[in-house]
Amino acid sequence: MGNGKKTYKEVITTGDYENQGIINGSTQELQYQWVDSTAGYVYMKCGEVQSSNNHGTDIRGYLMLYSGSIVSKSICYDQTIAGSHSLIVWVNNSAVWSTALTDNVATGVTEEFTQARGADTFSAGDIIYIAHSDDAGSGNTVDQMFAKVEIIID
Amino acid sequence: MVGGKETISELVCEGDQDTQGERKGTIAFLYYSHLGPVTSNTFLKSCEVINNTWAPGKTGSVIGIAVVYDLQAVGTPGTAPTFTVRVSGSSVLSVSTDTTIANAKKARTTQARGTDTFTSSQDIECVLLNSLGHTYAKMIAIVAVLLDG
Repeated sequence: MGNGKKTYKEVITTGDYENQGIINGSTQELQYQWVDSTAGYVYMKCGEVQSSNNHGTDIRGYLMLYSGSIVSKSICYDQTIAGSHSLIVWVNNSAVWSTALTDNVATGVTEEFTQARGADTFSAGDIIYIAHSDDAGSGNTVDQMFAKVEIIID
Repeated sequence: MVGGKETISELVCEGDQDTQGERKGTIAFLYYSHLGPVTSNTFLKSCEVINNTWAPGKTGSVIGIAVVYDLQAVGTPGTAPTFTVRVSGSSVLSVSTDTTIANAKKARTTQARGTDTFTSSQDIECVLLNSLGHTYAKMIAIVAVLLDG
């Protein structure tokens, strides 16, 4: 039997940390990919199913079981044609976090972005997915995209 | 300060938490998908592999399942099919679908830690149990597990 609730500013455990309930505040990584060459706006795949947002309907992606925050995103890709482009995280029908990617024709490009917990939140039952945009016809073309969205569960 | 072992019922850490050993009791997501369309019992895929499983590697509990799917056509009337988590072939946690034809439908459920447990060597599958001939497609699933160690 425990000794009640305790609040600390910081906890350092020099050995193992065993939690017999559920750890709130743990991170998870949502994985997406798109292999084919794309020069437009593409919602990446969850496994073999493409995520989607058909003008607010047919919203597909990972369905959340718990509330939380989006705290990082990253992408690895090949850029074959120059042009500005962006990486956009969506929650339901809202593009919540859009970031410009480097315009650099190269293979194996990796880019990472972080933000504070609480900046973009979600609830249980929300759907999270990610898109790559060629920024309104910039001509940018990429392929072999593998992206990750990191979330913290409340 | 380095203390010894302390057992408390609830711990709130307002800042960072640094575990220099192993953290026991963490949540992990297992990912499954299937493009379909399918009209019978179907194992969802782990990555590109069909009829395969995630092996957890540690003991733990199944604590949730969440699925986004299309129901394209309804077959024989009857009990609605389910998306079911199976541990080494035994069904442990299911979420029911309904028979309203629509795209991007959602189904999810959670349960307490300890309700359905697994050992490190068991397999965790996500299966559409559909014996009525309904047509499902574009299925994206997460199975949440809580690892004991």
